[in-house]
Amino acid sequence: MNPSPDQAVVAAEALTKVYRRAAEDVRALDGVSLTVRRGEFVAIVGPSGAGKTTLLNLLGCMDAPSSGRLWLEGREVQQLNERGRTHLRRERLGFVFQHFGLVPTLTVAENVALPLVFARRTADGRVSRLLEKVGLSSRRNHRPHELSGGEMQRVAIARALVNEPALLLADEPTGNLDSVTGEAVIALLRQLNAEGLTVVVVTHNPALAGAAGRQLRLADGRLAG
Amino acid sequence: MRLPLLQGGLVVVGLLGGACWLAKRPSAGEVVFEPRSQILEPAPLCPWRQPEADLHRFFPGATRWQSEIRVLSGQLLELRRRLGRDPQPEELALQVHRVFRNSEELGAVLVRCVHGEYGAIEIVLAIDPQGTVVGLELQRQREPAAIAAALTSPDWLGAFRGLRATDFTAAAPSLPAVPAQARSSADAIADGVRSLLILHQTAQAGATDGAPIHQQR
Amino acid sequence: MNLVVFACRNLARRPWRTALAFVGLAAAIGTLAVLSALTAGYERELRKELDRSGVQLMLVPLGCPYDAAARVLKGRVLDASLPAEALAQVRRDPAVAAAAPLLLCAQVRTNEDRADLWVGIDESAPALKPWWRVQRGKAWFSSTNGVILGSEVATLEMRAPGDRLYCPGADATFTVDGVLDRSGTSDDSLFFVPLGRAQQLFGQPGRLTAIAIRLRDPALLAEAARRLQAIPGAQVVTTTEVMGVFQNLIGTVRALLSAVAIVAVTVGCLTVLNTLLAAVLERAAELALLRALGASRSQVVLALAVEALLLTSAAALAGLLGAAFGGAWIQDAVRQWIPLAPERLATPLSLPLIGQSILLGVGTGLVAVLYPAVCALRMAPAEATRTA
Repeated sequence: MNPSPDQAVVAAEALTKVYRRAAEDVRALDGVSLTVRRGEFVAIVGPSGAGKTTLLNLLGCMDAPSSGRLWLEGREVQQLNERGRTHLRRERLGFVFQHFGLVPTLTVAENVALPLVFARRTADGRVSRLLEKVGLSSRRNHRPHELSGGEMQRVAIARALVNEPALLLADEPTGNLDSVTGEAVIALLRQLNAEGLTVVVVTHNPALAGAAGRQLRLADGRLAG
Repeated sequence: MRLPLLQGGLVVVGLLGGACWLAKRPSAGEVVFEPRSQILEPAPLCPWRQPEADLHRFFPGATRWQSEIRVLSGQLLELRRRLGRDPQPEELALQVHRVFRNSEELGAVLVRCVHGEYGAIEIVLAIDPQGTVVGLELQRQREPAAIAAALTSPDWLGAFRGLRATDFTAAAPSLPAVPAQARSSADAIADGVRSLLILHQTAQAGATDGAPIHQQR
Repeated sequence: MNLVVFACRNLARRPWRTALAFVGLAAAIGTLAVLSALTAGYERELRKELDRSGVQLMLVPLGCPYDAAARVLKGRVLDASLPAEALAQVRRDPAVAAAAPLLLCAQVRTNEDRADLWVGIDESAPALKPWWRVQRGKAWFSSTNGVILGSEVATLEMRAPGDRLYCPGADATFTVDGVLDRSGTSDDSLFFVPLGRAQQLFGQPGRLTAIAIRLRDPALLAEAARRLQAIPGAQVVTTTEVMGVFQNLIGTVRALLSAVAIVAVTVGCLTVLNTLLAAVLERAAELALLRALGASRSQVVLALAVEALLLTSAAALAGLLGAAFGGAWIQDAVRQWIPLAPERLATPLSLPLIGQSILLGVGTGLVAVLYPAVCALRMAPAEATRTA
């Protein structure tokens, strides 16, 4: 596989991840190769234990593959040290988690601004614009426990966007939401994709998978079809 | 610790004494009882050294005591009239140890130093709520043995029992005779008792309850 | 928002736990500061007291010389005594400028719970007592039955010059010749009588409790001490040694107090460590989330360190404030355990002590954050997707 840096945001070649559980090796991913092009909306689907979240962790530089190669915007991730991978997560990737991952002691605005603190950047009105975009301007000084599930997930999406990432990775973003609020989150993700953001989601939700432009099906750590 | 307290106390009573000094003298025609001994010098602040033992002796059913200071500077003229002399500065801040059985007031204990012939004599005076003497004892004295024996004899100390401040106003109450060499200290004690009773009665008549400064079960 | 705000919010997350750690460490640092100030103040006051005494050597009876010298200086009673010939020998020594014989006797009156300290002195005593000033009456005894009173004794006994004073233990009546000015030394509570009269009254004819000596030149101390040591039945103690005696006397107590302080600081440190460790373990998922959001390892450690330093620095300041305002009370409480403690012991907190306490607080924070930081560093960002 020889991905073109201009076209592919993510390119993976024969990614394998083996976990050691007691005396047994568990092959969570087994030779997965894929390419995600700029502006694509890709849904990774499959049964529980298929390796979806493991794949997302590898794509998000949160974990290292046991073997295989991975490129993000043309840079080979394995050649980066810990600091380089942290920099990549901070500057080029945005994450949305199933359980939202908001810091309970911080306000909505502070949660959104958190990646800027790590990047040592000032907000310059960006936090306000993003909160407006996700429809939560009036909730900026609220704490997470004062929000509904859908609101919390929209805060998480705003936070994922605050550093203007090249790729948004979302792990079951509607998994903890009812269908109505789930729909709103799907709509927001579609809107962001329509504005040019590359989005990769891991989901069991057929509606969300249906909203994606492409679906990758994982089974037993391998891409099916 | 005791000296700074003592000095502080003396400064306070000094100020009160200044006020006393400025007070008008009584008219020449007023009849005042003249005791044989008169308090002529300020006394050091005298602690109540053995409250538990004294309470047991004078107020057997007592459950607690509470110390208060009664400020008498507003009753200077009355005090001058009744004492027949200028009050000493420390007398204008009378420390009263009120004695209680639960909430019932049994009486009070008053303590003071008087000028004995051979050293200071510390007297402990117990009175009932009406100001009648319940008992008297000397908590410290340094008189020679014969004098000490006379002054601490139950006969002599017991003679004060039942006396009130008014018993001292017109004439000296009758007290048992003491040997000649003990007379000066005996007179000092009698005048100390008389002064305490007058101070306490004046305080009762004119003052509201003082703020407690110490309480103990 | 910055890391300080982030740390403050985290500390406020578990207010009781934070408050307990804060109070524990503040109490530990406050205790340490007070005990350090106490020790420093003790030594300073002791040195002053010895300097004021104008005495460089003490000749005391054979026995424990240091205990004897310490007792004499503090106006306590000795059981043994010196022969009177010792005084003549001391005065003959070429290095001795002044020698004052002393006989101390305690008259205990158990039924009144008091002890009067009577001191027999001769004319040489005032020369060795720079503070000896007569407030009222005569500067010296007018007869063998004269007594000169310390200022506190005169106040308590209501005695003035010309008054009589009875000594129950010796069955003797004295006439008050003079009352001394308040000196702030143990002299304020002593009864001074002529030496010969004291020896006769207290049944110690020709005996002395001690001889206080001032030299012509302090440089002669070693040779004078060597010569005086040869006097039969007597031994020499220098004030430097007396200082050592005092310090030895309180050595055990100080060691105990230091141990208490060290235990207190250790417990305080462990409490902070426990608080931080619990916070890290409880927030494992959150720390992994921060890593997933782009926090570097150093930023995560820095966030924890800021949290620890805020807690421990504030605790150090609170401990110092407590020491400044409650120190006198603690010193009074501790003072009763220290043998022969000077009258004045309280001493203000010094700048170095304040600096040391703050450094201790900061150091505690840094030590306490080490292990939690290691735990935090081990957390992989991928934990965020598993447990967030």
